Amino acid sequence: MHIADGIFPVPVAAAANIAALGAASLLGRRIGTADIPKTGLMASALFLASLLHFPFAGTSIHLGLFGLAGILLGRTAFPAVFIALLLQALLFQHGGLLAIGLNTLNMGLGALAAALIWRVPGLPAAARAFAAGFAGILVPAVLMSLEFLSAGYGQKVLFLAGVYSAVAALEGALTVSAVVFLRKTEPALLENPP
Amino acid sequence: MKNLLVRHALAAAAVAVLAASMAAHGLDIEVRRHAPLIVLKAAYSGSEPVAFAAVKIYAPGTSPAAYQSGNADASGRFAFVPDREGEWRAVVDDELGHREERLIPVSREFIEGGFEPPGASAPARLPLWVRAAAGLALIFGASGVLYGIKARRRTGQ
Repeated sequence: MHIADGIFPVPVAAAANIAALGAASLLGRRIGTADIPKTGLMASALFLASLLHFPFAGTSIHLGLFGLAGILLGRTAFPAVFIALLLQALLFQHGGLLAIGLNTLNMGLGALAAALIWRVPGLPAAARAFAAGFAGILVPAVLMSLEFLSAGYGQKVLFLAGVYSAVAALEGALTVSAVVFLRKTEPALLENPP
Repeated sequence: MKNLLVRHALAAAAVAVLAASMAAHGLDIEVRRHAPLIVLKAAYSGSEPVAFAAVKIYAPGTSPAAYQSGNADASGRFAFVPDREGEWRAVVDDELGHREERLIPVSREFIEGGFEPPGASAPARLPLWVRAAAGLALIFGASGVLYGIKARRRTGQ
């Protein structure tokens, strides 16, 4: 899921870094004082999620939790994703500092897509949660595959999107269970994200 | 609110312990020296080998052409024979977004007799759980500082 340094040319990576930093800064201003603990906790979960990995179809895949982030944080999930990716690059060498913009745009847009899906009226909460969790992973996977295709990189990118479809289904199920749990214990967390 | 924070802190701690007990997801290159060979072993952090990863070896200098290229075997291993001293560069790419570079210093003694210079091995990394805990500490600390600043601003108004 993480694009490593050195795959895309420096100008492309630098432009993506500027765009991601600008978007994270703008959306970060929307985080209210009362939402800071929730945002910090979700950033921690995103930071740790990539440690929960497992081998699948000859590669290594991991959870993202971008759908859950979108549901709980709304638009402010984007800066949380940026912080998590920054620390993953620095501490786990996942992705890289040069590619952090591309990774933030891919995964942050997944979280924003999930936030939008969660707000669709007229659907049961479980259906919205599943779709949000599914899109939270699949949107970044599709974006990454398209970027790889445009760069002429590798021969396995379509396979990658297929692999992440399976992960997206798992994430959808996990997101449903998290939402069901939160509705029973702390329903206020699911209401009116920024 | 206090109960909520305690519950969240406990949940985060449980996830941290679980996660720290598992391997990370990055790509690592282990370098072993068996003169005149240098053997690379690529694995997703932990132990899962990067089977058939694309590998390129670059000789010391600025030549953009690879000295050797090919694919790792099913166990993620790839071997090459350096022919000169200097800093060699290995690039391992699983073509699924995981890519890692490693600089490999090679001495004249190694070329001539297989002597491994001190410090030529990969630099040691902190244990995974320490890095995970450091990341959590940074996030919680930054959240606390930000909360304090914003709360003080509100009180000031």
